[in-house]
Amino acid sequence: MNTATSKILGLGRAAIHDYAVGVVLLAVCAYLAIRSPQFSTASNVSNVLDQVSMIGIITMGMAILLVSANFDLSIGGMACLSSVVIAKVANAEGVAAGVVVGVGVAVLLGALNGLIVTVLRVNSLVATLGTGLAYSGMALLLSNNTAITIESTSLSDFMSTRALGVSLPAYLFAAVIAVSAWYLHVTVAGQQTFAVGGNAEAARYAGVRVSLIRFIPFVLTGLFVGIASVILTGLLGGGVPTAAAAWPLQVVAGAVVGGISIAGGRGTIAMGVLGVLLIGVMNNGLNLLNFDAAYQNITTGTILVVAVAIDAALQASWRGRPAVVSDQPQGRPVVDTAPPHVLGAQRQS
Amino acid sequence: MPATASALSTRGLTMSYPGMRALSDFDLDLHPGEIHGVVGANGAGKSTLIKILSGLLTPTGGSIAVAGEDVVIRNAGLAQRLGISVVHQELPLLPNLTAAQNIAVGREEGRLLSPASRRSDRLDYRRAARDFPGAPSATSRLEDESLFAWQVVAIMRAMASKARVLILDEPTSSLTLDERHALHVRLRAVAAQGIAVLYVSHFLDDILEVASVVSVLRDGRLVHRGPCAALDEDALLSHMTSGTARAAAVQACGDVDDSPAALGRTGAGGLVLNRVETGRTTIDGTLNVAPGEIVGLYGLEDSGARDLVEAIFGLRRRSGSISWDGAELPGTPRDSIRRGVALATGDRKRAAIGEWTVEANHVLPQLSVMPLLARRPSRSGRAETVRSIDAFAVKGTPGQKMAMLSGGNQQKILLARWITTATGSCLLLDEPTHGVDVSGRLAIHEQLRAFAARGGSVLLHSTDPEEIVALCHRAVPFASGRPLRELSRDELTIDRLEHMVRASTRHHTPSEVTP
Repeated sequence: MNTATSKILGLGRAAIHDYAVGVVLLAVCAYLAIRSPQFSTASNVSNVLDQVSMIGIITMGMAILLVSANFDLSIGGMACLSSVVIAKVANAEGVAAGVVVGVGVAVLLGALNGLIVTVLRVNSLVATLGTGLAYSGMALLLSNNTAITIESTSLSDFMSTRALGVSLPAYLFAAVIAVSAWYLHVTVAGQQTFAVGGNAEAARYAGVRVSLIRFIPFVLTGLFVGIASVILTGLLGGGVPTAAAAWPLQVVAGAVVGGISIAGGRGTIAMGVLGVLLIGVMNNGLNLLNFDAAYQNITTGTILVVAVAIDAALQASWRGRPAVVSDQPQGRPVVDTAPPHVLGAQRQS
Repeated sequence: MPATASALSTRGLTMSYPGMRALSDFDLDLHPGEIHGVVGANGAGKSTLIKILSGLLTPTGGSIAVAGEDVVIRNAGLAQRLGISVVHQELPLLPNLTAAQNIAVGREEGRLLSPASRRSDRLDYRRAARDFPGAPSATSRLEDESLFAWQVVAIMRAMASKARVLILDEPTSSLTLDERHALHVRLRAVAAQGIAVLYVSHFLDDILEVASVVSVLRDGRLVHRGPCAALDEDALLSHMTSGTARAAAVQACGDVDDSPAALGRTGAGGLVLNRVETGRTTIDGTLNVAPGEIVGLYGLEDSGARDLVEAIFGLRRRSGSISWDGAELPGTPRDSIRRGVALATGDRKRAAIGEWTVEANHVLPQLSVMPLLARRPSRSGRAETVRSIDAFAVKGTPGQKMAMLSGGNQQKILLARWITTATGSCLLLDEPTHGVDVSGRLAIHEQLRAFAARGGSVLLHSTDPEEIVALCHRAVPFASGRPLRELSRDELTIDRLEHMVRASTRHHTPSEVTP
């Protein structure tokens, strides 16, 4: 086989491996377009985009976090708190002030998560589980456990502004996709994020400021949660202290279905977008085909597990192939293999 | 035949690799109740012998007999069934389990769902511990115990499987003097039960204290065997080091240009260390590396020289002053790289990102000094990577995954990325040729000499005296966290390096040891 052919095959293999979820998405869209006449109408497409944009925006932050081998489960609490703050400040100081303060609060909370993880060295799963609980508690406290309606309707009106048949949240989603893709795939910082997620020790040896590279995605996630909270508040016409409680799992599901590795170092923004869209389209399809809403969770969960299982199987089968070039070191023997009966741990000095 | 009386015997045991013999024609008769010491320099064949006897390596020649019967030890499980138990240096125990559980785990045959027999495990443990005063309590978790307790538990575990032969690999390397004596008392008790003990160590005083017979290995060959009573440390040392084939060979080819060394010592530039302290390592005076000079730090594992090299680069906290080219080094890896000070380590698992391509690994250091929001370089790294691959004769392509390359080739890339790209003008090296084959080493050495000839400074830490002698203009042997007397080019020989280091590698006296 000449090199050009094998190169093309290799690229094709990589593309199918990385973006198999895109193929599934196309298949689901095609099926729904045939089964349900409403599916491909402009209003339904716009509807789907509205629905996925909030989760999608936060998924972009989560994608970058996952690549850096971290996690954020506090986004639900953070969004609830941010939304309540937006509503309260909007009623007191005006809608613009509410939006600025609300987004600012989310950025600060994200930064707090980042500090806890990078400075105090708490595992990010535990840290954000804790802060998430605290944030949602604060949202309840601040709102007296009730929804706060914003008197002015300007935010709601703004969120339903349409251009070219698509409303504002979808444009915000597009903007966030662009910013995230730029950060993760264009900048030096993005490349360093992959390095830290792939092998933090090696990144440190190469001079990468590991803590900083881990910290930034938390702040970005905070910012994106702030933006999503503005949309949420606009769509609901006020701050609801529990409205975003289910978001963390949906966001993680979207990112993982897209093919982003929770072990870090592997994933793209496109994967996150495809994953979110797949779940959004499936939910929309179930709705259109008149399934009970309860099926949405069941399908999302099933897709999640199936996607990860298929990914693991593909990885295993491709890893099993013989390497293109492999030569054993000669002369001085190197034995990398641990004794088979080794129990595992070494004594840490 | 004495073989019938031996617990374990070998005849003509040989392990060859292309281009070298790690062990040749090794005969051994290990009698029940005997403690047999094995000493030798790095690469003398000690670990090869242990690996063969514990079933981790298959010898290329020779035979092994256990209790008079010829056997082929195909794997570690078989070695254990034959009654050969090994206590490896790194003590593979589980810190999260209790001492009793550590002995029992993995031996509960075919009873996964039956209740764990904690009680009887504890009882068994206590019964065994009676023979081992100083064993930790059955219910204490190992992570709370001292290294000595670990050592004792490791030996108890090895004994629990009805051992006939007990092999110990450097059992005292981190023990205090008192603990070492205590361990030797236990070992004598073990031997008194009729078990044959093979005691491998580079601490000569240990061997002389506990062993009755000693075998000295050099370059894979047995060069001396005799009762310990007739030997002292000096005699043993001379058996180990004098006139090694390697020493002669290296001296012949290792003619290093001497001129920069002379010019360097007075120059203000270069790397200057003054009263540096990091962890257990202390430099009381100064240490400098002039431009164009290769300075070696030679020590055994854990000599503290590695800590020093890592501290200079900024991977460890340190006090004191380190300057490069006349200005203080701030002490983070990124700042060091910006100033042209690079660290290449032989520990490739720590330094390479296996999932990345060779090219991406190659450009990573350059990336780390760029502004975060700059556009990342797309194609610029390709040409440099190709140059590194050519210069170091790497078997691989820029687009290949790093993990697909052999260890030696990964190593070359990890070094080349600092040299070819001119990121570094001062190279700190930590065992740069660890696990690299002979031709790979030569290529790396040649590149390092060329780098120094261009005016670069090199500080090389190596546990391989051959490498130090082959490369360095001068060298500082290192032991127990402290530099010993500096050796000039003329004084630099493998024998002298080993002699100095081994003569001053002593166990810490109890007062020196901090908990």
